[in-house]
Amino acid sequence: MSKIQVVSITLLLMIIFQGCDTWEKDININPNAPQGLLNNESDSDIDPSVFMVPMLNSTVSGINYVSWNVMSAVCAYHGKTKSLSQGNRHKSWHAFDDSNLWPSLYNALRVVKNMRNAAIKADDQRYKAIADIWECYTISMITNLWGDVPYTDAISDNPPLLSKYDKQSEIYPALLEKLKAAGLALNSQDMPINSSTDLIFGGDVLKWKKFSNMLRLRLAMYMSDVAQTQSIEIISEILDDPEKYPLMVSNADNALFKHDAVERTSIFYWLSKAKIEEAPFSNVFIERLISLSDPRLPVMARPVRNVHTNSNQQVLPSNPGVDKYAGHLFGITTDNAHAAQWNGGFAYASALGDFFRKEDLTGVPLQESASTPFFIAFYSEQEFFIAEAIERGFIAGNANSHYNNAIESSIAFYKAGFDTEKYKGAFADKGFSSVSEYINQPSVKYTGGRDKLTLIAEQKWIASFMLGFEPYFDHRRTMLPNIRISSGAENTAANGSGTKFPSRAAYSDSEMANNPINVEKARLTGFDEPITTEASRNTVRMWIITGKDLQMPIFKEPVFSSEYPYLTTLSGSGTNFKKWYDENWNQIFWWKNE
Amino acid sequence: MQKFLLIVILFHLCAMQVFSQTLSVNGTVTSADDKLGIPGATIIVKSNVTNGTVTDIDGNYKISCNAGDVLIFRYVGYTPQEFTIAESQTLHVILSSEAIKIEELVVTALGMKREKKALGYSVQEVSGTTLKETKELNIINALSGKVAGVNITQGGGGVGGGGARIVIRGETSLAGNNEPLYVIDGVPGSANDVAADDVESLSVLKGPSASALYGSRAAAGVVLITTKSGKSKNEGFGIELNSNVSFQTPFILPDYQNEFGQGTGGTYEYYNGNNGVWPDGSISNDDYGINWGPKFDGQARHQFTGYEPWVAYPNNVKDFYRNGLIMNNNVSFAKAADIGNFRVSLSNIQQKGIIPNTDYGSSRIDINGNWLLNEKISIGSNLKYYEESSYNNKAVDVRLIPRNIDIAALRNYWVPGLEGLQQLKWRFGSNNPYFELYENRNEWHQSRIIANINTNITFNKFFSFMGRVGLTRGDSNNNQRTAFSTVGTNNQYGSFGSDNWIGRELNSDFLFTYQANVSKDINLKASVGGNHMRKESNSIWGKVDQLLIPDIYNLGNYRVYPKTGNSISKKELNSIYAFANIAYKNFLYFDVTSRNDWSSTLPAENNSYFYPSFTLSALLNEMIELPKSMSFWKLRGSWAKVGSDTEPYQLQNAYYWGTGSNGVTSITPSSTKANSQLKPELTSAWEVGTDLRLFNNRLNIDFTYYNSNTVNQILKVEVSPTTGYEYILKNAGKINNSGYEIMLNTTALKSKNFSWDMTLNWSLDRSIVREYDPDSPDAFLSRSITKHLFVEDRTNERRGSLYGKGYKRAPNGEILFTKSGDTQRGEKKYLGNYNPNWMAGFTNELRYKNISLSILFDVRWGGVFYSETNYNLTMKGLSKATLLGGYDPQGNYQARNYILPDGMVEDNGSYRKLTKEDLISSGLSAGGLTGQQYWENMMDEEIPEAVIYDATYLKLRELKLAYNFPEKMLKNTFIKDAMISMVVRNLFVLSHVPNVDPETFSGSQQAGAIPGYDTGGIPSTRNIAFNLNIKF
Repeated sequence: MSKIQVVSITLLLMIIFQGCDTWEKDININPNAPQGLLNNESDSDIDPSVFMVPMLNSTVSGINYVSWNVMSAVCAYHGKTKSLSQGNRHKSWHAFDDSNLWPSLYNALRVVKNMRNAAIKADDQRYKAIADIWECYTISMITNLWGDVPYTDAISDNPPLLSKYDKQSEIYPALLEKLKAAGLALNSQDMPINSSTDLIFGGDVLKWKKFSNMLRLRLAMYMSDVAQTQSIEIISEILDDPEKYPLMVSNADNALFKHDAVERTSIFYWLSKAKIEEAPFSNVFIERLISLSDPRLPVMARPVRNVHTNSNQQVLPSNPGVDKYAGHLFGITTDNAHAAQWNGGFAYASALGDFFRKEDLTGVPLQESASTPFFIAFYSEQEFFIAEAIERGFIAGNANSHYNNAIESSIAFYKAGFDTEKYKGAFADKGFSSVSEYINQPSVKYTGGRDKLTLIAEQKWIASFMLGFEPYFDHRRTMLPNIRISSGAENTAANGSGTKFPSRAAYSDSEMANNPINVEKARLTGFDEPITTEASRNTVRMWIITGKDLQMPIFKEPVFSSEYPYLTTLSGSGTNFKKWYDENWNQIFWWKNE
Repeated sequence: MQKFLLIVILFHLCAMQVFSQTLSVNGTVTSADDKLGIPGATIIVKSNVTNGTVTDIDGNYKISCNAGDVLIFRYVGYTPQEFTIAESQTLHVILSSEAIKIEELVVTALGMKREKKALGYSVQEVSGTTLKETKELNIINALSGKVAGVNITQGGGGVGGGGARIVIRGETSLAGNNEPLYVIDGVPGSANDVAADDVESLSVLKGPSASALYGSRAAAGVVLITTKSGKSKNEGFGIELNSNVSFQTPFILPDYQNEFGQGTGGTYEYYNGNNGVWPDGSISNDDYGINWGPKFDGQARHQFTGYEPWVAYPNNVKDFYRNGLIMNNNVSFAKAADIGNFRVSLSNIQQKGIIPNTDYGSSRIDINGNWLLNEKISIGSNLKYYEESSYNNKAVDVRLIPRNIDIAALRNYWVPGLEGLQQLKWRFGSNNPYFELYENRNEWHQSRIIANINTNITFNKFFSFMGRVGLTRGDSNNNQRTAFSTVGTNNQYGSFGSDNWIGRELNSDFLFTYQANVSKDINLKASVGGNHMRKESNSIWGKVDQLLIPDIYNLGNYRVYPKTGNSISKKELNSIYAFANIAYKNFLYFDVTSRNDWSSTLPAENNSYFYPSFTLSALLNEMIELPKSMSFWKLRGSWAKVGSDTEPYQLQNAYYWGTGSNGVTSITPSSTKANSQLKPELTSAWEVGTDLRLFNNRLNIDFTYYNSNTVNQILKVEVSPTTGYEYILKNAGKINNSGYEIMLNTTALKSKNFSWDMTLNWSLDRSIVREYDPDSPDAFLSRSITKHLFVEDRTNERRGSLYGKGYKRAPNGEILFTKSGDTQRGEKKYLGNYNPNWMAGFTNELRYKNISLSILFDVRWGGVFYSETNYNLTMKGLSKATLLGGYDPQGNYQARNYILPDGMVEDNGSYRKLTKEDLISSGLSAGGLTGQQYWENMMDEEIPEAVIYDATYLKLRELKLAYNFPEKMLKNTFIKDAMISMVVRNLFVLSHVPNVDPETFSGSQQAGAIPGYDTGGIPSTRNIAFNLNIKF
């Protein structure tokens, strides 16, 4: 053999017998980001604060859009001009399950786990407790919407591929227990956490502590109809020992997610004008604020652009001032085309006010609206809960003062003054001059003769505008105030909840595809009746609302064309409108029919 | 190379001669076809096979022998000839190509040219000429209908070829990426690495048996591309010129209604596309992108153009598209000499897209040289360099623009006086398409250099060695611009993003070969080889979300701080392989291969995997007496196994840098759960086939059956987010693929001046999911296409099944409505499969003297197609179908009004037809729905069934007319050969799908692409190309 042959064959044999995984040892270690398995010894040391923003944001970005888009219509804050007109809104309740809500909320739990493990590794009790609190808040949102949901599997560090569903009746006590422990763990911690990544409390640990107790109070109230003894125990425990279980004491303690306005902008900023135009205020909400001469009206809403002239064919704004406020005349089971034009549509209804969205002349939002916060929990909400708990005899105390306190703090939160140009513009000289005058008007006064639980619910409904899904959870629980639905909604029962208040969000198609066995089990056993059809998926009741009658009072739907307000394209419209309005529509204003 | 090796080997052979010879014979061996000398033809003495020689580069030979010896002249592909030698003489031998072309050569794994008859698996080859004439920018598209078992789905008509999805023998991977490996002259690359003009031949290695030697990267098949070299015999100067001009037009545009315009509920009034406000300060809500507005009555109405007559612009969509133009020019110089050969080729492509202001261009150089250092050693080298760029490759779909929009009025896309700051819009919520194309450009550059050097050493008669080092280095740059006033609140100040990517891949190979006649009847060729691959890339990107100064696209021009990021990736793969080809008496061929791979991407304990293959081919016509009509009959069979690895960094959970707040970064854990226990993916397959040639080769039949199982697939499984992840990486799934391929080839007519050849390719593949996750037998793999449509791979069902909700139906099958005419959602059900039941391609080639005509039809039979474009055309009231109407209470027919849905209602447990009275009692006093109500009900986005169509189509894919200038005409010129041709692609289609081309896919080009799903974008094109080919 030649030299070349010898050399080549030697080379070949060398390669074969030296083994062939001769690359550098860490070639397959990702150099681009820290490594880590949950809770693993070999994990990188990561400061827990870097997880805060994605953790908070994942939950909030899941809730903010859907709660604006769906909840506001269902709870009669908004009168939709598209997609979700009254009848349709119950058909379209499924906007929940096809949204990214479910994954966003569960994805937040992944970040929670990472932050908690980073905190444990760094031996930082503050971040560990905050991770627990946020986990409970996120899970409470999930179970309140869906009922039985994966909990123990979902929060474990090594979740199985197919998570089993836990009973809501078992999730609630677990959350309450965990929140208590987290709050207590924070009792000995006063050093602030990183303020620039804590987009809720700016690093103030005491406020997290208060938030945890507020959440316990909220959950205890939500389950108070089915587990009253436990609820009372928890509420008493908190209220009896403010030292150990501090609660919110002012608006400064409100849990608000403060958008950084650069990476995370408020939905009121990024929503397109077209989308905003689909959701003017409903006339129920506006009419109630007008009838109360409420100073929050000109802050929450902006005046209408156009006013009709013919009061027989259209509904005109009813406030006495020069700035006219009106809500969209929602409520009929019509198609998108007519919903948009009913009573002139968006141009004749009030849109979100400057507090939420400041716009230029053409409807483009100004940059400053990018930082409008997302509401998580209010001091006023807490005070309404306490008033209710006292009123229902759970605890002793002065319900009236908590009620007044709640109203005052809500008005203060909106910086809604009685001597402002805007207030005068809305109510001229018919308005009030102070908060106490407002509170003492017959419709608001706690001892004025109206049903006290209705009073609390009504004022809470106003104060909780845009407070995530809470108004929905509250209404489902109390069915107060008395929101009505049109008779035509019954036609949509096949695809939605018909004339019943929607009881839950439906498990998403992707969950049914990815975890079919467990979700099927939950559908069959998790509610008061098995979910077997489309029709029942929005009406079955979960544990916390066991036995609730979700039937809404009905008003008669207008007859197509003749009883419609005037529409250019619909001959006969406008002719019998006023008659129908006086006889049927008015029923929607519960305060006039008490 | 083969010829050269033979020369070297046989020279060696000569040198070993020890006999003394008495006679001397010399002469030239020429080919009957082109009258040129055949280099490398062998001449041996029949009685003493060790005595022999080969012809030199010009076909000359010289041999000594004894009187009475019989000399055999042989060359692959030619009929051997024998001469008895009585005296020293000059003997010129003319070999004619074998009448039965059974010894045709095909390029197989590792670039080995092998006789087709020796192969135990199916390989189909497409000549470079075919690709050259078709001149598709993406050469893969030129294969449509030409290769059995290869499913090619063309993308839309975007610049640069528009993309293509290719799947060979069905989808074997549940992960979605079933892309074959492209090997160009032995070095892995991409289909785009070579210009159509430089392709000598393209072989499709379909099954694992054929591709086993390529290992893990070839699990989905191999497309082997051999480029031209100077070795091809050349007369004259060796200069070849190809020039091509193609014209492109949209193939199918929707059938629109032109009676109703923009708006909703029959009303429309324009508001505020252009930043203006009504004189009375009011804002109306007429910002509609839908087309349920008033009937065109010619009356003046507020529109974005002003107070103008309300009329339709029937051609507004058609007028938006322009005629695309592709100019493709190539010139090559090639020369062979005694010491080697050389070829250089230059290509240039300029494309003007059918979408305004989109383009594509590329320039290439391809240099190929071989140097015969001495009789034993040759050194070859190949260098390719190309640059591609697009000033703008943005896809803008205008097919959903309302009927009253005057597209020409949008062309000046700035509001006068606000140039650079505010675009002119036809509605508030939509960008002006011209603004998007001229201002919001996507700019793209890419360059790649592919270099390799190789050496072949022949040690002696038995041993030879091949070594090669190949390096590929590429970079790309992407710039995305968004101008001031782009729709969307976060876009009002525009944005700018820039991505840069650099990658390199190094491949080193060696191959030792031993070749000998072990006995009189047995010939053995055995090789041992290895490959080392290292792949690295580095990307860096920056993005400015809001610009400070309009129209300056620079990362420094920011209003809010810019985002940046980078990513590094490395991977190594080592392989050792060995194979042997054993031939017995020229009628039994047995191949065995084995390969072991070590991949850096798998865990240390699982990173080595071994896989073998066996193939057998038997020529029955050589073994037994067959009827005379059967000139050739081969049986073949093979079994093989191939392993496959994964991408880097899949073993540990990773974090991502998020976008922080207030100047502090954030970290987000990945939504995919890593897996530290991954195992290699394995495919095992067998195939049998036969090749039968009848009636003197006038009819050829080739049949293959194959069956393969892919297990341990490395899958990114979509899981419930309740697991804390959205995806989990795991080894799961077992897919069984089986199918048939039939190729029929017949020469229907053949005379001196006229011939007619027909080729039929037919294939059927069934990919069945046999197992998904052994841990949870009832689970299945689900991928969301939309929120309500899923591809679900369920056990024992076909791969690629679509599931979603259908309409709720009455027992008689009719749609069940509510009494108010609303549709209802039924339960989720099987909606069809996106894979065809079978595919066929049918080519007719007719030649009369110098004119040839070729017509290619292809058929895709079965499967379903989900069309989002049709959903929108209907939902928005644009298509002709939405003119549906009915009779009003007075009996007057009106388009779009008073439609009584045709279906059933449930009434106290029984079913009956929906009536007018039902609607009236539900408040619809006219007893009918408006067109808008009706279609918005029917097009429930939760019911994908509404726009699922049968995907069957018949396409006249290609028509080619060519004229070869006769030799006589060129005789006294310096032109050696000249041809002109015309090729038309996508001539017509017959299908069930309205308004769009049924051949489409969504998503990226290959990975994640979902066929049978149209998401809009750029319509496919019809191309008319004119080619000129001249050889000097």
